[in-house]
Amino acid sequence: MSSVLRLVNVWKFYGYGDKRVAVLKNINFKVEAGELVVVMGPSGSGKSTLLSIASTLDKPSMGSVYIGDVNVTELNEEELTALRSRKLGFVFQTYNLIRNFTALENVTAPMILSGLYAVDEARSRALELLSLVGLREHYSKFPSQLSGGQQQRVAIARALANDPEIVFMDEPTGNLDTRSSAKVISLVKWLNEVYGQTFLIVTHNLELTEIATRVVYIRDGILYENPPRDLLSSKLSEELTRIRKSDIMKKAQLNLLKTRAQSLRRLMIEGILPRNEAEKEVVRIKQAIRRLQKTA
Amino acid sequence: MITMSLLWLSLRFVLRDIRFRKFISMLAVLAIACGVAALVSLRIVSASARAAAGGVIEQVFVGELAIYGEGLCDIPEFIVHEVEDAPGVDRAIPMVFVTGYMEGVMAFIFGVKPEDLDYILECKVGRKFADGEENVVIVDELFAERRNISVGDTVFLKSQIGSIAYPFKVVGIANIGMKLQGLSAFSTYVVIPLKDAQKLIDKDGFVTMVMIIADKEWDTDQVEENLKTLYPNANILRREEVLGAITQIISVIDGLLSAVTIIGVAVAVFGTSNTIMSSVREHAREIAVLRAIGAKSRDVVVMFMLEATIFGAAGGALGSLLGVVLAELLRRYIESSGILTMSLKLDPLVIALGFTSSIAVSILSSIYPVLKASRVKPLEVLKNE
Repeated sequence: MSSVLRLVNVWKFYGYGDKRVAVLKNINFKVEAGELVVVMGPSGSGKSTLLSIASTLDKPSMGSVYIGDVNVTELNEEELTALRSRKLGFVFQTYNLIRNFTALENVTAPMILSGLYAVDEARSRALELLSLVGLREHYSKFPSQLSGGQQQRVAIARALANDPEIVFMDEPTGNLDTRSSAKVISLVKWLNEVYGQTFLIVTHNLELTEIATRVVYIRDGILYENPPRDLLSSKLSEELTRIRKSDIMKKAQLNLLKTRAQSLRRLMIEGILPRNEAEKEVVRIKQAIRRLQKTA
Repeated sequence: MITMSLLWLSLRFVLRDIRFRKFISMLAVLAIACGVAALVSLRIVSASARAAAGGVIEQVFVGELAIYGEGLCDIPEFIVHEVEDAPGVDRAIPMVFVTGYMEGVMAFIFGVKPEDLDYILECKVGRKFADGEENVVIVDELFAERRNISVGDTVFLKSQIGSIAYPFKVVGIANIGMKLQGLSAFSTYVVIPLKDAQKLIDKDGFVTMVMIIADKEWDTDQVEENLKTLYPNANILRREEVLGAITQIISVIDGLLSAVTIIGVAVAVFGTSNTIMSSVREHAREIAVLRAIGAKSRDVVVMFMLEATIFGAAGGALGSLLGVVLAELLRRYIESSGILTMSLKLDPLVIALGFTSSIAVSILSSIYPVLKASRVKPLEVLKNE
């Protein structure tokens, strides 16, 4: 199998100087033709940045990205546009269909923009693609007239318009209910199995891993071939120790309880709060203060 | 190269955009239409006024040259015969111009010899006055209509400097206004015998101006030279100079009206710019999507420039139509105010100018927002994902 996508020693930094943060750390990653790769990761793990760099929407700070044999990091914006138009497909979480276009025109647009098809050819191909995703009868509808699931299927048809080498999907089921998600997921699986369409999907939806031919994991900008189970628990214990040792947090909590007790006393004196209720609350505050002092 | 397919796609995008944002689009088109209407109407009125003023001068300034004095009425009448004998002069017509009042209304009074009346006017009702007749007047038909004056009525005329109002019998009603309004903004025009006009200002034997009709075989320059030799200190005015002076006045008015046009055009510029800017802002994410799925910067430029062009064309067409209507309303107003009687000169070039300048202004005012649109990065599509 040949590599459709290859990331070599890719780093991505945001910010400058002391505030520079590495969002992707030395990523080396390949997607072979016909694979359906799912990149799993929680929010802030760097998966969207990985997708944006892999799909040529953004450039890495260091390293190279290859689509087929082409090093896309060396291409200018217009060359990238041409490459995206002919070799890549995109499906986004919020569908991102063009509001002013019907379903048919949304699918037609990439073909016309690529310059490969005349209007009639593009329209007839778009109709076939809509049939493929089960929406031929909705061809004249605007995105606002379609459900979320239908919009996402139109987006998939649009992504397939120019027979891309790889389709990038960013949380494709993120905005869908269970039934629509199932339809979209099964469509993607079918396209991969029957068409041999290559997919790279970034998500935190576990269900998508069921259809994947390969799953990779991303945490804190590092890519793992296996789920990094120890990462969160070790982070948790580190964080707990830090909080327990923090005088500032303890002091702040004590101050909060003291001011609460003061306000209760005032409310009781002014007759706003019944005495028995205030007393119960004061008991609870005292217990909390004692608990805090014990951990000192 | 911009393909037909791309134009088809862009047109779909733009027409839907206009349809989905009817109100904003309508405001943009109206803003452009207002600017174009101001431009077209003022151009039409200005051209019509120039033509009308030119026609008036041709009619009133019956000669090619005129001799005039330093004061109100200080050219001795006896020189008329001398002038007539000068080489190249076919006829010399003495005239007295007096500002005064008729029936208490400000009037422009012309004193003309009966035999010269044919050069000045044609009566619509009644007759011209004859030689030897005194205290007779021919009244402008507009004034006669407004004041309900008929042939046979008696009106009182008084010069601005004189203290006595003399009674005059109306013998004729003529369209003097049409012939004379180009010379003055007064709304009332009357023609009386030369002797009566001299009496009104107590300048018996003197005239304001001697109009010279040159012999057809003579060159006007040569006739002017001859008159200068005869009267070295005389002020000699050529018809073209009067026309030039009036054209100059109209040009000044044109300049002032241009300021109004500029305001109109500025409204159009800001209107279009704002609409395209809001369109770009509203579609920022979609532009990023288009860029991600293969639209080049140029394609985005084509899309939004097409929108600006459609606004410009619609505004230009509507504005041209409104401009013609506005010009007609202005013409009626000017006519009813008694300033100038004119017919509208609908020059296709003016309409074409309005239409093309509308498109040009729309495109120019869209450059900044469109450039902004073309710079939207495809990465924007992932924002808020």
